[in-house]
Amino acid sequence: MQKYIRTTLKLELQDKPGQLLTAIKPISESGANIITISHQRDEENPGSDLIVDIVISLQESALPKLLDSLKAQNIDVTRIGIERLMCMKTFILIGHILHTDLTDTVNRIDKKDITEVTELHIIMPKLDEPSTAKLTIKAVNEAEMDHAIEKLEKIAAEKHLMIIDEIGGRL
Amino acid sequence: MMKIALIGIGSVGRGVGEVLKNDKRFKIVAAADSKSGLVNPDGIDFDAIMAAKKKTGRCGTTDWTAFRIAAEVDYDTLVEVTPTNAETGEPALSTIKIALSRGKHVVTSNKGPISLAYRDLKALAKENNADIRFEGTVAGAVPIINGMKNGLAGNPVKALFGVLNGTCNYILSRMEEEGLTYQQALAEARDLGYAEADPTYDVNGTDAAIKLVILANSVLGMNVTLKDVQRTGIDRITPEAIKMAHTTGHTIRLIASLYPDKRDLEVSPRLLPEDDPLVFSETLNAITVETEYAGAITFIGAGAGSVETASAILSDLVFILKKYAL
Repeated sequence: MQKYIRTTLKLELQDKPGQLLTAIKPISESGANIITISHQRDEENPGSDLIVDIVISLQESALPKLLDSLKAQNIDVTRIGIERLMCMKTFILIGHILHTDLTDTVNRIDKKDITEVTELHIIMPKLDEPSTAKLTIKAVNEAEMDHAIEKLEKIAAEKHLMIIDEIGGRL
Repeated sequence: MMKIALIGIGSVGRGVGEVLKNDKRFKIVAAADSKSGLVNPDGIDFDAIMAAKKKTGRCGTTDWTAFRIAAEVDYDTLVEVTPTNAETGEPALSTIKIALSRGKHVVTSNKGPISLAYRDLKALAKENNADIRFEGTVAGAVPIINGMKNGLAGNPVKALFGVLNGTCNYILSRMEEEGLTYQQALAEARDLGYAEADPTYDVNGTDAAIKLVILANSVLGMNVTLKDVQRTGIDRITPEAIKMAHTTGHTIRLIASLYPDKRDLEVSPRLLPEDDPLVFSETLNAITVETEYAGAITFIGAGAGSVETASAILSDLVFILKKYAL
């Protein structure tokens, strides 16, 4: 399965007409999906370089070629941030979440750089009463997400936790 | 004109009486409650039997039982609207079998017999050249069975998601709107008559699961029972869970879901976007059907009620009336 990544490119463009288009062309040709573009002109130093942030999602294998083509156009890429965990699902858990070893619950789902619990928010109304938690899991792809959900379901059955998940696969 | 034997004059039976009494195409020739019955080939005065029932607790005399009416009276269609028995389907199942064996048509809103014995009843009807119809068993007035069988005929169904229990929907929407606990919202639903004295079958997902079984077997050609439906109720849901769902634009509803290809049937509380067509207040029912060609289609309307359920029964009666030119 091809791995998709989300990445932010910070480009330095000369402040003259046509530069943005020159930068976007190779991105578009790489098959990437442009999620957002923002640019800021330095009003105090007219004529200085233009900094453009472009967030794209593309197949990981297509990234090196894209960076080469940008370089070939004399465009400086000053920073690349990569978000590998593209799949995200939110769950609500109800039960004795803390008293059933929360660290264990999270550790069993976490698989470094593949599936990670990225958000956990717990409300405990009263001692001895069930608590409620919102848990966000991110994964590199759907298959890994399915693995993580299977694990979560197993943990929930063991620890008598109720899971509420999103309706998936809707059109 | 169609001659009708009406079995059951509780809430739905009264609705049927109201809907049919001024309709010249139909004549109620027999009626029975759980204790008594009466027969009149010239047509029963429905208001008179309701008055009698109010006064004495009986609509007729004890010598006419539902079974005897089904077996002996001259009628075209038996309308069976007694309360559901989810375990055995009785006594409705036996009443319906008697009618079908005589070649009489049957229209019912009773979930028990249809969820337990759909294939047998369909075969018995076919053998005797009779029809059995049951639009009122799922989602009250909402024409989901005919809507899927006829309106969406031929369209492969990828998935189906339904809010099939008005009591649960009321409880969850009150928890969402007012921050009530489950117990508080349930007490309110009881006070308003939306929840029964023993609400177990509603809140543990069984009622919705029975309706899902009916849709799976009768519309999607599956062969499943209640045991095939994975069920989780709403009694453990906390007000905090609904508040947390809200922070990402979601809410919680009891959803019956069905993926025909995977034979995956489930009734459980799920997170839904707050703007999803399946998110609404009060006791309505709704079903979203995801189809190959038509995309997603949502049916929504009254899921219960006397005259509302009678509307579903009327549509089945009119279908039979036309088909057999009665």
